[in-house]
Amino acid sequence: MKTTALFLTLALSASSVAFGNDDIRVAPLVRDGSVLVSFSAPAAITTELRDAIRSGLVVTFTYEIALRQRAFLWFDRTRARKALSVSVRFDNLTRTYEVSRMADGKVIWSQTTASEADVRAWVTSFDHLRVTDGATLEPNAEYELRIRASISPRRAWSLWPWGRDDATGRATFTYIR
Amino acid sequence: MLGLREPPVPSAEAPAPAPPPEAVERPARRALDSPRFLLLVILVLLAGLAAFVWMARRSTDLSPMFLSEVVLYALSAIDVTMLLVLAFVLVRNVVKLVVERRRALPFARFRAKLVAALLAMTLVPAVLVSIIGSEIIRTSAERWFSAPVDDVLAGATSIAGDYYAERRADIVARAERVAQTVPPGVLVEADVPELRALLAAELRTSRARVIELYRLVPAASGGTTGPDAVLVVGIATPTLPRDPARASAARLALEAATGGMVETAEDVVDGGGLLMRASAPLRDATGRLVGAVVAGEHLDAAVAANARRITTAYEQYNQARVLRGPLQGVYLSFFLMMTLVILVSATWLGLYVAKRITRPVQQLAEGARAIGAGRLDYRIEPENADELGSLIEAFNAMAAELTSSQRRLDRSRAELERKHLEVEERRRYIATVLDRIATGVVSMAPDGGITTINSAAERLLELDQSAVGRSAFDLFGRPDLEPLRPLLAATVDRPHEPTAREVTIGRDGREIHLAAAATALVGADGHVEGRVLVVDDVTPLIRAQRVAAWRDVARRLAHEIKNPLTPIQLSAERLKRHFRDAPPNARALVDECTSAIVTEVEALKNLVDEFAQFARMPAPRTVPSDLNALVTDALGLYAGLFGHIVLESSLDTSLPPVRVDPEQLRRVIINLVDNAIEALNAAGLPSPAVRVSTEHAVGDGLARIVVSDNGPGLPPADRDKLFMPYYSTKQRGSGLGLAIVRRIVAEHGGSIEAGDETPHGTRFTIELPL
Repeated sequence: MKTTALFLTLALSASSVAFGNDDIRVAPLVRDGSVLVSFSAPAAITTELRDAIRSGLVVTFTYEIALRQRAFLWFDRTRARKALSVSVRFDNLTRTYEVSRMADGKVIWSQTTASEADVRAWVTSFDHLRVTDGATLEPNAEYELRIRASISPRRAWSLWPWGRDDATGRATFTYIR
Repeated sequence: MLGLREPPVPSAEAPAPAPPPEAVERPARRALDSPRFLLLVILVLLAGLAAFVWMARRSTDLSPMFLSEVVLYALSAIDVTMLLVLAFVLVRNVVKLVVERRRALPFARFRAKLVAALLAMTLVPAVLVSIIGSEIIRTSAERWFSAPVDDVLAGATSIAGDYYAERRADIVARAERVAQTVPPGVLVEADVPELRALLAAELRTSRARVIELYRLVPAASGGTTGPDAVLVVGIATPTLPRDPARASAARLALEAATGGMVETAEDVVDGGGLLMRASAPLRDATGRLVGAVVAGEHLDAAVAANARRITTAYEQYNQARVLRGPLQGVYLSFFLMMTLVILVSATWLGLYVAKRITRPVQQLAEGARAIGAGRLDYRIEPENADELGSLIEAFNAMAAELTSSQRRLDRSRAELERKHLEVEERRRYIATVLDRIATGVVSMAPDGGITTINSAAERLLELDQSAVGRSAFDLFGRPDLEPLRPLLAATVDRPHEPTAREVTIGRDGREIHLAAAATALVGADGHVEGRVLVVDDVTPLIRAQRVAAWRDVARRLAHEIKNPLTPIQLSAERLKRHFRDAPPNARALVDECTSAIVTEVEALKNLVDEFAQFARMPAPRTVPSDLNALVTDALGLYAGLFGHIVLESSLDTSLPPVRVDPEQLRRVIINLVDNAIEALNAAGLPSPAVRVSTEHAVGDGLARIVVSDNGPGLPPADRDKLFMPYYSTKQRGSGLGLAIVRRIVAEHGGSIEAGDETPHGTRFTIELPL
């Protein structure tokens, strides 16, 4: 019975979530017509994830940023989309972290540090990321910034192979130009 | 699926010709039943199984990341797909089996049981194996991460890390000490020999293998070029391997010279060793950053490799522990996949085997039903050469034989039907003839039961079709038909001798004369197959014969009587003249006698004239005449003559003209009215009345004249004698009136009947053809 229960639990349970929904704090900002976003996920690095990082795995935090315009009777229309990922790898010999950021598939920043606090900040906090220049946005319209975060590799198994978001965050704002 | 062709069901009128055997279609074999397809499926399954076994063997070589991200994803996707396939196959076939069972298709229950048995036979062991395998995987995974291994790896990694950190701290301290040793301003004056001596002394007293001094070159004004670190002097031990990462040292020096902080870096050198560098900033007397000291220490290749190996082992161990869930998932997914492969294969195999077994039998059952429904050209295409194939061949041979027999039967049936139609046609012809003829025919079965009665027999014998089936002997026991019974009895007593006689039966007080003949139908074997009674109404013939006889008598009487009347009359008159002078008494007697003789002779002359007229009545000269006008004229003659008798008429205005001899018909009407008035006068009843009416009987094509009175009526026994010559109920009269009336009506092609008037009286009905 115990084995069957374990099997069913392993087979049918969803992936363990590193941090819950709406744990990403999103702060949109409009500056010079452009839409910037600052967000942080302070609960992203759990004990379990810290162990995974300390095991030397390359742990990648992927954030998908979508700027959408609400529609009343139809699907929301996505006005802009941006993908950002941060990879971190811990070297147990040198006891240093190698952190690199990629935006839209390109490495935009890389750093090595021995400070875990620095790593925590680099992988969970982002300031003033430019989402769009606002050319296609309607002034005085209501928009929503939604950020979905996923962390790989998975640390749990689900029979359903197609993953889901580990965390999401959203914020609405009025685009004033 | 079956090789069948469905022709229209042959009808009785036109049996459909059977198709030639070569016209039977051959069924298209399903791709799933193709041996090549089955072999291909088996090969694909075996190949997939081999690939998974190979992958399982290689799983230790694959990185946990690859296993958990790629392999696990693929296995999970395959598992979900196979679950869907299994669910689809099961649901589809369960629905199919339920539908087949509800439609009571043959072998549906057998197929369901076979599939369920195979599924149960595979489901139980497969699930058991999966559970046991899962348990083994789980316990094995627990053993992977035992505490001793954990402690050893953690300790070794800690040692390696500590050693690495110690060496790095040492080289950092060396670089900082050199940076403090170098006097301010030396880099500016570029006293290289002095610096080289300083560094050589330092190199001899420490574990540093290389020490270099860099001078900071500030950025060019305008920002065209950034700051740079330029090597002033460097000294290394001869045992230091060649450093391929010189640029790394300059970059490290620049970072320290510009940042004012100690920086470290490690570069791999030739031979596999590790060159650990530390850079400390140099300041002038004012504290301004002017350069940097870079000290390097060589870590032996073996030591570095061992340290990295320890670290790598520890990391792999920890990674496996972190990814323990996904790794277990890989093996569980593999087990699940194999279980699903077995279940899908078992389900499909069960269905396939059940179908292979039951389909030929179903085909035979279907074929039997088709044959039973008359589709004798139904054929089954044998799919196998086994016993079931032989059975199907036998079925087809049987169907072919049935087809041939059916053709022969069809031909025989067609011939029989043709003959039956001929017989039926002949029977209808005879029935029509019998129905139209005036002769009555009654046929009987050998046991005396009546089989047919034609309409003339119904009319003459007052029978109806309800008599069919009854015993003729019982039926002819009826009083009015009793005279016919001896005829039937004669056919029983003497079946080989036809019996014929004339019989008279009473009908409503009248006599009907029938010429009857009864015959037994004797077959070739001498047995009586039936009896036939034929009756013919000869009443008119007998009447005509009597009338003709009376006419001959009348003519002779007229001739024989009239001739002596004149001499008698003359003699009487002579006698009267002779005794004219006789005494009064004698003369009175003579006068009285001679007057009586003369009067009676005159009466006899009149009687003879009537006889002569009856005998010499001319043929009627018919012209289209208005019967209503004739009736009116005739009744007009009686106007005012009989005040106490009411004469009334009821004339049908729709009566068309009728071809009659007006004088003769007027005589008929007058005669009948005279008789009615005379009867009414004699009876002396109150409110005497005579009524003459005409009627157009459209359905019968007749004109009808009815003369009736409300007198005492006629006795039934006298009705048939009324029209006989010299029959009279009156004291005076020749008895020829109604005989002449009947003759006139008869010569007009009509008929006259006497009957009772309601509530009392006499009614004469004359029917004349239109």
